[in-house]
Amino acid sequence: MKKFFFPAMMSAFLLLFSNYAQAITPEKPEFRKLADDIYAYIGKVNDANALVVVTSQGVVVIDTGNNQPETRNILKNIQAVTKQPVRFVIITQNHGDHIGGTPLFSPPATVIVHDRVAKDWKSWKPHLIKAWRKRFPERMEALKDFHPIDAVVSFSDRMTLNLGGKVIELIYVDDTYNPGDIAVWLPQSGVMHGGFAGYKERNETLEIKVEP
Amino acid sequence: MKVQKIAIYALSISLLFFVSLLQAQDLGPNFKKIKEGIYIYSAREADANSGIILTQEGVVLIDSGHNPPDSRAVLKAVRQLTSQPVRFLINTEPHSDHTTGHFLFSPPAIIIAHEGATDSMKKAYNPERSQKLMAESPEMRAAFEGYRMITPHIEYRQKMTLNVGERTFELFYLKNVHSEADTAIWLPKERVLFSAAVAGVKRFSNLRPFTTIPDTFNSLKMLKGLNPEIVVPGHGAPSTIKILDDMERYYGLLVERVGEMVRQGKSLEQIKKELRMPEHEDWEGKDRFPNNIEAAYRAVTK
Repeated sequence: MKKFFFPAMMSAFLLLFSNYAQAITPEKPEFRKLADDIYAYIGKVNDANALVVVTSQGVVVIDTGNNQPETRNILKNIQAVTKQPVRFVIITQNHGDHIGGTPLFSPPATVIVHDRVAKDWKSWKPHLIKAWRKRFPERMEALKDFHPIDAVVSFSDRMTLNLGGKVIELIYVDDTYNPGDIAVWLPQSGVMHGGFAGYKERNETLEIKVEP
Repeated sequence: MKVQKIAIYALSISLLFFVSLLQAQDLGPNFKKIKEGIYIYSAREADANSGIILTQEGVVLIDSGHNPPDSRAVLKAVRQLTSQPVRFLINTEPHSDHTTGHFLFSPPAIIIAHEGATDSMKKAYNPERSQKLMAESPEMRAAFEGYRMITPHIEYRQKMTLNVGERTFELFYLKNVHSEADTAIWLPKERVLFSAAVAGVKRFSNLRPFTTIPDTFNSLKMLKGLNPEIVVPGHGAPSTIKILDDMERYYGLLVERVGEMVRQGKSLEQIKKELRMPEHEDWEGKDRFPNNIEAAYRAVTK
């Protein structure tokens, strides 16, 4: 049973990520356990998904929610399953519905992005930085003198995060439409956050199977 | 009255001077301040260097010290310099003289190295080395208290950039120069380069069978291209780009001479017996010279 569970969940996760024209996710977001210490936050009505990995050395959040209420909801769900702080935020795609929740977690969380995303963040005009600091009113004091690049780790090809025994592999996926896209692979549980590579319209050859 | 005033002035000025002098030397004779907020520690010239870099968002360390007593000296200095935590510890290489002291900083420090560092550390781990060291002195034994091997939390491939507060750290993989996972660290704003083990200071490197001189040339060229103001080698006193120039010149001469002897039809054994490098008579680590010749031989015969 367990043998089939993980591939099934992985495929389901990929499927859920493939925003088709019609909504394929329900009216309400869901915080679903995929494996031990691994949770998917499935955005409502095609909203961006997030993935949460809980470790004994802190929580890793992959993508940060479609908008501010969603980000707060992700944090609330994390706090319901662990007392660990969010230590890392990983960004799979440089779009507002994936990066916009970052200032709720960082600083102190370290943000991991691809080099091309870091290059973009570094070039932001003052009005974007100002908007970033103001996204969450409760965070304005903490972000007073903060530039979004100040807590960023970026990589060129591949990176492996090994936190509290949980292995998280980051893979650069070149995408013409979204410079700096990455996929996230959790080899111990067989869960993959496909990033935009899991978007059916961008990859017509992608076969999505949901095993019973 | 006037004399009294002058005396008070003189006293306060000398006091100020004394205090500032004290601050500079507070950390002890084994610490060198190379730039504002950047300190280098090593107890002996040949020991592995350890770097302390202060930022607005916490401390970044480069390697954790030659042996645990060194790591404790670094930890003490960090405590003296700032109340902020050590957030990141970057490894220039996975060998024990750069990584044994990790347990004193992590958790909470996140350890960063190139891909392959964890495997290398696990493979090379030898409890006898620690036992032997601990038998050396009660101080060494005490410094080992709480020891456990801490492997990297982040392994990158090829290149990585770390932003911490106002500082940027660019990490470059140096292929086949010394260990299975060598990293040079470049601070572009400060123009400080931690050059890892690609170059020693008047010292022959240990060129293991998988290292190559052509790859080392490539690394040296890439690092020189950064045009650093200060170069901190893995071992030896921090200096300038001259460290890289000297190493490049040495390998150039070595390859040239070994190449000439190969063309004369001499065998590797003959070359090892006959080759002299009078320009490098004063270099340390002569026991490594034979494996340097082997590396040059591989470079010219392949």
